[in-house]
Amino acid sequence: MTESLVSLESVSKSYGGGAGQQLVLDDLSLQMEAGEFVVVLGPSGCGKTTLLNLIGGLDTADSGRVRACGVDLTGAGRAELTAYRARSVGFVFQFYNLLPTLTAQENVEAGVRVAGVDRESARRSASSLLARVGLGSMSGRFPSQLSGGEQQRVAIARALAKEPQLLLADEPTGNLDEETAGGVLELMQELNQATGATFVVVSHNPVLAQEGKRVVRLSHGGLAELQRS
Amino acid sequence: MLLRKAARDLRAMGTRALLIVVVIGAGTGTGAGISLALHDVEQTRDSFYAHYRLADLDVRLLRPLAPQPLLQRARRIDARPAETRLVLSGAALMGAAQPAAEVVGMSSTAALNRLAVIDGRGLSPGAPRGALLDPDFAARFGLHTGDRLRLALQGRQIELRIRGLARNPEYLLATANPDYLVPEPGSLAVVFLPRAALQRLTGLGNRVNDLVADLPGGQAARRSEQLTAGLPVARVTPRAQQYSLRLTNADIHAFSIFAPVMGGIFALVGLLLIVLSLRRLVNSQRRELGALLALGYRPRTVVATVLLPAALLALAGGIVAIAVTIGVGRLVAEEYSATVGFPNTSYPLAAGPLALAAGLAIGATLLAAIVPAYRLARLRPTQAMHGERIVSFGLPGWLQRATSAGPPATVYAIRTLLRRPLLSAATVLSIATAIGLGAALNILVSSTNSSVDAEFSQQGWTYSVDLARPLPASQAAALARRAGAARAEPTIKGPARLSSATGHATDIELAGLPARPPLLQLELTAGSPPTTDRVVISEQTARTLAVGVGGKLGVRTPATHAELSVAGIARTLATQSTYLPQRQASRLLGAPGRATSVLIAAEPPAARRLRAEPAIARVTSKASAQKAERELINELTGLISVLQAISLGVGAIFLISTLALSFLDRRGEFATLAALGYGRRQIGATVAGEALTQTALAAALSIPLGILIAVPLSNSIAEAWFEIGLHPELPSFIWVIVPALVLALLAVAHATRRALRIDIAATVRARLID
Repeated sequence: MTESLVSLESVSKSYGGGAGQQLVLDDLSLQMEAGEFVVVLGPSGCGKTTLLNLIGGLDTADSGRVRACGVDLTGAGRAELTAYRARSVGFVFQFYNLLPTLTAQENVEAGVRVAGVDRESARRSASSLLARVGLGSMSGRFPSQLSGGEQQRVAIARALAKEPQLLLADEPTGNLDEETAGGVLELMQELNQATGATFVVVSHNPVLAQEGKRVVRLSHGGLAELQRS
Repeated sequence: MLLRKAARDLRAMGTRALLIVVVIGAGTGTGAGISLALHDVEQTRDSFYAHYRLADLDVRLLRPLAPQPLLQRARRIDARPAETRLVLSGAALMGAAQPAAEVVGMSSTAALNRLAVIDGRGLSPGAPRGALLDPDFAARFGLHTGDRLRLALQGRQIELRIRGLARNPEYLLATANPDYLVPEPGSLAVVFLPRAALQRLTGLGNRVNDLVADLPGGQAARRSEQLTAGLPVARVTPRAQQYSLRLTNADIHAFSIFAPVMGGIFALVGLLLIVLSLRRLVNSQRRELGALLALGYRPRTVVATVLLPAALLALAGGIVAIAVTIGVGRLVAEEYSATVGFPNTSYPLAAGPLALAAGLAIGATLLAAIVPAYRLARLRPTQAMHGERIVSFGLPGWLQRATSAGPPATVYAIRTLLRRPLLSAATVLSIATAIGLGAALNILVSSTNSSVDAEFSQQGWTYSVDLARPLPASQAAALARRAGAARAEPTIKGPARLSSATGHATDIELAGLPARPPLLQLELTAGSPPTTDRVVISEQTARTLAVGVGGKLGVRTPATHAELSVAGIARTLATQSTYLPQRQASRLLGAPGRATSVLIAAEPPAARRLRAEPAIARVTSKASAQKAERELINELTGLISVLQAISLGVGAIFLISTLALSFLDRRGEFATLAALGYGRRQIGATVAGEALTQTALAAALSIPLGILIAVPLSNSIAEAWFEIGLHPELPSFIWVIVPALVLALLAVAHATRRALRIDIAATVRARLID
């Protein structure tokens, strides 16, 4: 039996301490396979982002085991997590988190160079990806010179430029209007098919469930429902 | 509600609030602290001379006389108190070295020129050989209380025991060669003994040669003439002419010119950073202020919302400013007092500098907050909430290309400096000013040393020999030649007062000069050498009297009065010396054809032989005078080091706070870099790159700035001491730039630690606030 790309076993995570402690994930077990497009849905505070952070190596679980891309994230040290993020994972954030003093091209390159790719290859890869997300002519612009939708496309290009096994997107359309959001989702699905990377998209937008190939619904820290479309 | 919001805003700001308070306090407090230090040293000087009762008048006689007639003279002019002393010149026998000594026989309960005992015990008639010694001399020769001290005095060898160390207002800055305004600490063995004991030890019986007195107010000159009329007077020194007081006044005058320059620089840089910090603080609240406007709050209320936390910051900054003022003031005053040699430092809390510090801190902070708050309150709510102006960043094509080389983290670091060009420029300017000020002080020290060396190097004499009493010039020269001097140049020196037609007047020392002086070379900056009725004055005297070459002067000596004109102006360390041909000078000083000193070119054995002559009061070598002047300048570097440390400390505070504020504003971006997989080293390198780039730019800028700052400071030295030529040398900068780089590295380490402690998951989700 082959190992899942992402595997969570009896994972629990809480925030705060004492009387104010809040259990966000409670004994959660979940697997995600290579090439899947997974949509994580659920109400606010149900642990969607926490789940993404644990998979992305941005946070660690209180108990249980998290493995992704062949790395045991539960026992990984800081350096190992950094290397994991640099090589295996791409992030897309709700507020894009582009570096404002770098151009679109340079933002994408920043996502590639960290994986140890040389400058010329990074430049080629960034140009190609920006063209692919429809921003080939805007590569020299700074984030403040781009619209929200364009910025999110740059963020997607940046996440994919290093050819990660896993792309994690946290509310990627949460800050966009409906039409732009639709375009971004369409692009992500295309890229999922084209690159073969596993996409995990957190959202509370039910429309996304119709687009996703697999839906994970969280509720009160646990898995409420698994659905495949 | 607003107050609650203000308090919560401040709590939420946490470290940022603390840093802004530190910037406010350090910026304004340092400048005011230097002003407070000036006030403290002035108070210290005044209370020292008042407490230890420096006499209004000191009359030195050519030969010892009975004390009672002198005291009766003093009583006749209402000079009270008046005391007689026996003051003898000799030499301290310190092995091969025989430094000049001045032994003061005085009452153990003297009311005037009292002793400040800083170690051991005071004078006692019961301990006739128990002497008190000048602490600078003791330090220079490693002498302590309880040690023995041998003196050559009046042709006898006397052995004393050091009973204690003491300062005295008359000898606070003792020197073996008072011709030079710069003293030679430790060059003169000032020894205090009970008067009767000294009279017995020297076999002079009940005779004295010195009278000190306080004069009643008004007509001081006339009373002084009445007191000395018919007496064999060697020297009359009014209080204002007293060497130590004159020098401390000149020194403090120089400091009083330094202080506003340095204080002003610190205050200016501090104010700049306050404005930038507050602007940044207000703009970071742009969206929530926009929300308040959208909710219907009036612009006035919105401004008040900003002003309340700003007022709390201002208040806290004001308190810190007062603390910094007191701290800096004490540090500088303490160091300055130690350099001059005051036994104690007075710290009266002057209201002026403290009010200035608090007022500047509070006023500048409120003003710095009001302007951006008012601008924000005038925006439409949507404009304010949107905040495009804040996040916008763009570069001209050429600059974009020029800054695109290197790894992304480097490009990011460089571009960050261009993101807020005004803030970056202000930071660089602040650090450059701090470094430049430190370098300027170094330039002054090295330039002063160079000027001293240059002056001494052109002199042909190797020893200056002061005679115990005036001798015929030919006899003085013969005495020197007999001792083995290759060349001898007899001169006369004596007190006089110069006045100009413009109504200015100053006390000077009239010095005689041969027509073609073989040994004493004057560096004339204008005019020609002295001739009959045509005098050469120093640059300082020319400035004081507001005269130039050809100007008319009146000269008054204890003996006579004459009309002169200015033949030339000289650059000299002996700023009070005024030169006339030897023959005319001796006539004006009432000793025609006589000399009071001889400049000689001789080897050390000749000097040793001269020291053994009873007719010789003291022998000072050029090398020791030069060395002593360097030592004095090096002592002053103690004070300069404190000022440099303050400069660098303030620079470091500015750098650390700017870096920290910059980091706090961009923590979302650092979190993004971390999420992308950038490691500790790469993020650390980014922070370090920013800080070191700023420091490197500041270091480059500090070179012209340092020279610019050195110019007014050297002018103030010229006004107080002597003219110096500025010689900026690389080491002057290196000695400041290297510590600045070290401090920058420490600041970087601090900022990097903060950058790496970031909670990536929490920070990366927050909307980036640029």
